[in-house]
Amino acid sequence: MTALLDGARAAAEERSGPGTGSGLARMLAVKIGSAAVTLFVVLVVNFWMFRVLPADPARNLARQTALTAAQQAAINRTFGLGRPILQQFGNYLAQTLHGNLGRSFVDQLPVTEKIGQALWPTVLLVGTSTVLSTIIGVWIGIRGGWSRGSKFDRTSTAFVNVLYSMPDFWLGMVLLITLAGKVALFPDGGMHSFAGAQPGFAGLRDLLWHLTLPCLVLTLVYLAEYSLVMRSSLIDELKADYLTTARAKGLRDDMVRRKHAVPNALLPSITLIMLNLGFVISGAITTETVFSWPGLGRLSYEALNAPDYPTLEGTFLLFSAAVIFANLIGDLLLTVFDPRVRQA
Amino acid sequence: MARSTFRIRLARLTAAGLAACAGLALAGAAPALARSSPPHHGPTTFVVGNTGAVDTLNLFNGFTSQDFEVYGLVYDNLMDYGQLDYQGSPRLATSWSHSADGLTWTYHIRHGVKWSDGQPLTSADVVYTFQRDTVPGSTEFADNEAYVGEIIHSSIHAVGPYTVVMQVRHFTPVMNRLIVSILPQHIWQAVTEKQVSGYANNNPVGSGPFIVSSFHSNQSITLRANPNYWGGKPGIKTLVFQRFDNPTAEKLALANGSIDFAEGLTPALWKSLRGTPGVTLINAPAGNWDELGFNNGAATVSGKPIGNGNPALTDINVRHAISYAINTKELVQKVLLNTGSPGTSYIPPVYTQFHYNPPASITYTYDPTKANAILTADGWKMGPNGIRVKNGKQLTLRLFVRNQSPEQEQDAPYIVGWLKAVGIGVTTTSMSDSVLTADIGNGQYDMFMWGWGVEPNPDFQLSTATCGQRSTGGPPNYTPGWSDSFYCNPAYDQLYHQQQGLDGAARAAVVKQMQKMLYVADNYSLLYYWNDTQAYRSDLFTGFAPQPDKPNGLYLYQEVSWWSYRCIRPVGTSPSLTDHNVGCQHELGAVTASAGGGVNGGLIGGIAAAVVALVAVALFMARRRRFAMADERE
Repeated sequence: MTALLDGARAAAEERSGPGTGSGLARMLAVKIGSAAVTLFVVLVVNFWMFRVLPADPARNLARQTALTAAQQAAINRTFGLGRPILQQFGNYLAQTLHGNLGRSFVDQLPVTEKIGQALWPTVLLVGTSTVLSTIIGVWIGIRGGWSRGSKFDRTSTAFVNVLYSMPDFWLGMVLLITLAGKVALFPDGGMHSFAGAQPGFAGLRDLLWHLTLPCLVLTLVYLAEYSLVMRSSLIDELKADYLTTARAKGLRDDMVRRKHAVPNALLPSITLIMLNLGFVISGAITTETVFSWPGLGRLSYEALNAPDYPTLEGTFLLFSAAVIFANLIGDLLLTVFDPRVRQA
Repeated sequence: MARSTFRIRLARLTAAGLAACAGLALAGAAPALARSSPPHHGPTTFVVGNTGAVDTLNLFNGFTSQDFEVYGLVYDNLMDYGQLDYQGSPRLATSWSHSADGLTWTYHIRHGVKWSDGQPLTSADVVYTFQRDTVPGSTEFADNEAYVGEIIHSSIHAVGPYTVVMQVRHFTPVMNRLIVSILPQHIWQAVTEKQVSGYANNNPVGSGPFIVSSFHSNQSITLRANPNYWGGKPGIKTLVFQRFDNPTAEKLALANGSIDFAEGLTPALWKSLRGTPGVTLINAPAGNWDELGFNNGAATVSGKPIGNGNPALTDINVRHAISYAINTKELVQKVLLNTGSPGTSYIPPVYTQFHYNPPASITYTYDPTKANAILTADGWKMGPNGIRVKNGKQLTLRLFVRNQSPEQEQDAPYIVGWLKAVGIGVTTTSMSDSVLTADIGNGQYDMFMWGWGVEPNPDFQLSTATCGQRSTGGPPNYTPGWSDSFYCNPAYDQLYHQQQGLDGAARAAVVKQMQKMLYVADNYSLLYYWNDTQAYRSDLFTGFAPQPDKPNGLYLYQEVSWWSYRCIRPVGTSPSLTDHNVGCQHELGAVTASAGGGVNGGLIGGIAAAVVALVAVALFMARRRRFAMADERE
């Protein structure tokens, strides 16, 4: 009986591999730990990078707008620009850890408030288009890759190649001129009609009306990438021995595709999707500019022009954190989907 | 089972994607399809498009031109710049006078003015505002110093409900031009100086002709007319400022009637609107110019030389040769597309009272032969590679160009070519404003291109060429002053201080003398005065009060002035609606033109797009069906 139990335990250990439970925990700890370290490095680099730039924000703003010397002094005083750089760095770290990203040099609004205002428009626009392009792109990739050389494959590949080579600002301008110009089927830009956000269904409809063109541009431009990656990784799998084995076992073609080919071919796409999701909040500067979309891309571009250090630091920190977080999730997802990663 | 699950899942995903896309497109298209009128927004709503937007309604924090455009509509200033002559003009102050020594000033405040919350506006509010603005070191003082710098804080007091008296340390002409926003004491007394920079002021209480009804920071702002405005009820009910990051979209919006006024269009876009039905173009001279700046010998305020400027530029003959070698007329034609005029002196011609117009005998008109002769006479001999040489040194200069200015980037190749033609080598570097500011402050440059926007009061602009505006501090990063040419002439500084104590013709004479001094010294080569290119829907609105005059005055975005807004009215309405308003006596007749395209174009386009979408969906479904059948056959 004991021997039997021991045998069963040994068999279970063999199945699960030596030390898997603690190994998984360790792997998680390492991944989360390295993400945290990366984030801290970003925080440090973020501060010093902008201070290295030879710029006097108060003077720069002043030249554009003819501020008096006293006004410039007031800006410098408000933002502590005259203090020693180490003291500025200490203040920055302490403030950031308390969730305070400082105030904009330009309009003195809290950076968290500025980011908060721009976050939702960006998540709405880039998030929606990322989801749409992922679904459509992966679908086209699977369909085309599986029936490689078919009419659908040839047409879709040509189509997505054309989309892939299109700069988003160019496509945006073309759609804007054709559909929002004289025809005026869609608005010329912005997120709401001039009356501002309206409540209820009318407001939602107005928002969707404004969202359509920029979302269409980003979806079309993004889907090509997913489609091509999915198609080529599926084609790589097509000749794999395990597919022949699966077919030899008598599995239907659809089953072979769904159970064996797609899950393996999906791995590069998962990495790509997670990476792109991380970039969602950094916005799409050119598309946001073409369509006057009040998102984070536009905010960071404006801040760069000023230069508005606190806003830049805030947005860059957010962008970096989002990419680090999405990569972490991607890594963790891969361990779920790919046993090789788990075992490694 | 497995096969059908996969298919169902795939079909669901596809359907979700398609539904989302179709939903977006149809929901989006619905307003256009449902519209039976042009994309216009109602006859009494006037929508202004601009490439900038209001960031903040706290007037001590805002600094963009769009911010000030709105502040001047929500708040009344004590005075305005006159619509026609840029002289101090009544607004809340109906009249003013000063003592014989010019040190005590008395202002008479308009009777019967109310704040937008119904409270009366009295001299107490004016006293409160000026006291608040004159505390040295405060945010408020920093913001208003150009106007209130000479006022003695403790001297400001009211004499009865409609008279304010204040004293100044020295006579200053600024007291005749106090463009200071008057604040309601009952609102602002709750906001301390320390709280000012964090105060949002999103529902401002003002006494101006418009009241804020909704505000989206950095996007759009909607104002409604103040029905009780002392200057008369405005001719429009709603005024909207909408931001366009993309000037092409702004142009399209004006052409299709989504907006009624376009500000900030590039010359090329502005020109492309020519012939658009219902649209009138305005090519208005304004207070702006761009210059080719020279390093005249960078130094600190104490006279210590700094930087690495090419010493050749400290030679006035080299600067003269450059000025003669540049074809400013061609720049106006090719870069500005004739929306400007060649530049000469510091105060632009739009300010007729102060502008110095050099006589033909000393004007730097394009003349490469003369430029060559000047350089040859100065000892610069033509080298074998076409670059002049003197004492073994080649005449090669660095030119720094701002990458934030498309016009100046276009200017650069022309300038390089013209200078090369007279034997001056030029290497150009494109850089950001912040890098250029630092390089200029450190004197590490030869030539650069930048520009200035000049206010009606010439004081500040003239101050930028005084010795005290050279750099301060020490290496490696000097603190830049306003001077970017490092011109320094004690005689000029003396005249600068002299004009500060004069007004009227006497001041104008000194101001012109100072400009002549700069022009002869050639510290800058002024390239051109660039116009403000505006366009509006003349088929829908009329009544503008251009500054300084029609037909080529600024319609909106006037120089620290707001004359038109109160007077704009829909075409077809009676002028009596606004003709009693202050400043509305200079009305423009409507330019009649049909507004083509909008309705039918929109409707036809909408239907066409819907048909295309439906056909696409049908084709897709048919193909899906064929795929499904093929799979089933297998």
